[in-house]
Amino acid sequence: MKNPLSGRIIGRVISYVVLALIGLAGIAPFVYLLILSFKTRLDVLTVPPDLHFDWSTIEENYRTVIHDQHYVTFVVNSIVVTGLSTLIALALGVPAAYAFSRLRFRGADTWASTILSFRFMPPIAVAIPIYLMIRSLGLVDSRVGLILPYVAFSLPLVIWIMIGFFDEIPREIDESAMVDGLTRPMVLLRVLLPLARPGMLVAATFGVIFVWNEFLVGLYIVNSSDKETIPIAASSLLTVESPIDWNIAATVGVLTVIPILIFSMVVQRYIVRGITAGAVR
Amino acid sequence: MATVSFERVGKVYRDGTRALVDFDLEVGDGEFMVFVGPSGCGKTTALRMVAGLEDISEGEIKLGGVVVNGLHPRKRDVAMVFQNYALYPHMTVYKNIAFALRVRKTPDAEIRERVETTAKILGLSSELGRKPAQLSGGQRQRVAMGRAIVRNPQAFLMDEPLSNLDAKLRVQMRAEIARIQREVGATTIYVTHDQVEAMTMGDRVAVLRKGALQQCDEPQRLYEQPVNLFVASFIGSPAMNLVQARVESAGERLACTIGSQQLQLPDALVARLPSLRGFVGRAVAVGVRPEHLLDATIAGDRGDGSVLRGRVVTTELLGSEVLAHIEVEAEPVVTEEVLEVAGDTDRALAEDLRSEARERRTTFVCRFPIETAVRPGDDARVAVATDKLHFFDLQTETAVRGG
Repeated sequence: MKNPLSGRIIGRVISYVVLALIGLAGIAPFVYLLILSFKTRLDVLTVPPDLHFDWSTIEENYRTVIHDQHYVTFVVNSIVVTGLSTLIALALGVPAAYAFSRLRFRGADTWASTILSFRFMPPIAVAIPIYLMIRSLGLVDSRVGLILPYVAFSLPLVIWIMIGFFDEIPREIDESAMVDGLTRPMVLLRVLLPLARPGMLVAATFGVIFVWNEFLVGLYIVNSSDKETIPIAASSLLTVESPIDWNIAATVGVLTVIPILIFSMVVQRYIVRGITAGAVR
Repeated sequence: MATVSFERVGKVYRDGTRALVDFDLEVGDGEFMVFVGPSGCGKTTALRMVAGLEDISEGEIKLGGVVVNGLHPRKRDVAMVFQNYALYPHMTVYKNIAFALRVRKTPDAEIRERVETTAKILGLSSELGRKPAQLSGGQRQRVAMGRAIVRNPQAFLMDEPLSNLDAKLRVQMRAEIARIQREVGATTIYVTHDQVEAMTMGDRVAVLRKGALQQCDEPQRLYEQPVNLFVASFIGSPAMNLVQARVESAGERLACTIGSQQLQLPDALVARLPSLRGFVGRAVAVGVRPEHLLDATIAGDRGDGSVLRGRVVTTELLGSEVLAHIEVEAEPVVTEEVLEVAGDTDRALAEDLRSEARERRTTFVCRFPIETAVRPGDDARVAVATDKLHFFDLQTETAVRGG
């Protein structure tokens, strides 16, 4: 006779093993990257890497990147561009989503799905026309020139995520607030924004991750190294130097991931709550 | 406080659906008006039009004599209690109640005073610091009420405010809302689909059907003098018994034939409804309330031709009385109205009514005293209080009235 309890334990063990494997597959490259960034140029080539670390090597690698390669400049560029374009995308996208969720106007559904379809297009498909437009605006090699297209890329996602969140909030809350004495815009500002905050964090996170990693459009627009964001800077580092210093490249990689990792950890609990808030009533 | 008047108000939705037709009504200053009707009758639409949450397609709505058709909800100075309460989940009870006052930039000291007074009326004083999620259903309902009464508006609008509460709490809040309304003396429009709520709470009750006002009267008049078959079957629980009958003349007197049985109509009734003579030889719908059907073995047969014979189908013991369901050989009234009321309560009920009609039998619900000896399966004799009969024209479905 089969013991149902042992069956359940076996099932649980199997699922944990599978989960662990998936987790390992996801995290292993990053761990490897971290290890490489702790090595000297020659030790990098040892496979598998030995786990003996030398503090002076680590210090040198990171000093090289942060100090000699002006890494701080790139981080600042990335933070400014990512932060501003996400904020602008939210400022435009949230009221738009509110309108799509609440107001009845001609072609509302068509417009909403059209906006989402913009998101299906890979940025590189429009990189050249965008470059030409930015150039004719005289914004090549400027932060504004980067922010404008990034806002355009983030907007559809912000609008779509926020429509979902607004749809979850009962219309009666708006109506109640209007009867209580608020205009539509004030209803959005004073009543719905606090309620939709988890949604805005989700939308912001997707926006931030996309802009932080965006490379190809940025490559067209930015020419001078002091305007480069991290992905562009990292790639020029790899292509300019020859032969490639893999330990330095790995250090750049680690430093690229760290800011976004910190950001994700800070908003993570809101994201998780936000996602379930969208699913469960 | 102010009067609310509807003048030939109509509502047509964008897809062409008509939610309200030629709605004419005046709610007096301080009056408690109830809108009642089955789902989709336009009662909520009418209420939302007063609040400004629905456009007014036709006619005019006036608040205190001023036309408010194009006015934004915030400028109408009305307060509304929503079915799902629509509390602001991120604000405490205090802030929820104070919200409308803060929006209107009322001084802080006055807000505090008014919120505290309101909380006292509603028994919420100890809950002011809590959030809606921490409250019970009844407490949330009170907060929703509090948000309305703290404002001292021109009119209260309530959209089925008790429908989310359990039965016991609903009865309790029903009394409480009626008390609060009297205390603050506010003009109130209260929407419900529950006719018991309508009858117990309203100064006057407006019965709506398919966007049209059927009758607006004091509850007792609505019960005693329904203007048509719809109102007759909608108001009252258990509902009025309706059966097809034929009016006949027996010498100077009138009688009505129900199936193969005949009821003599008392002269007083005929004198009250002289137009009944015009129906001689025609089929009509006869209505009789359950309390006007008596157990003949207890009440006694007065020998004046007022007894119906039938078979007891079931009995419902209610403690103080017995509801006896007695089947009589006669054709039931199956009009669109009656089916609509039955179908609104329970789909199966409308189906039962149709099968009864096919088999030409009608079940009468009778309110018998607890001493009654009738048991399911018995043949029973029912004494009809014939002076309390209602007659309806089967073509127009309107009541046969005096004159």
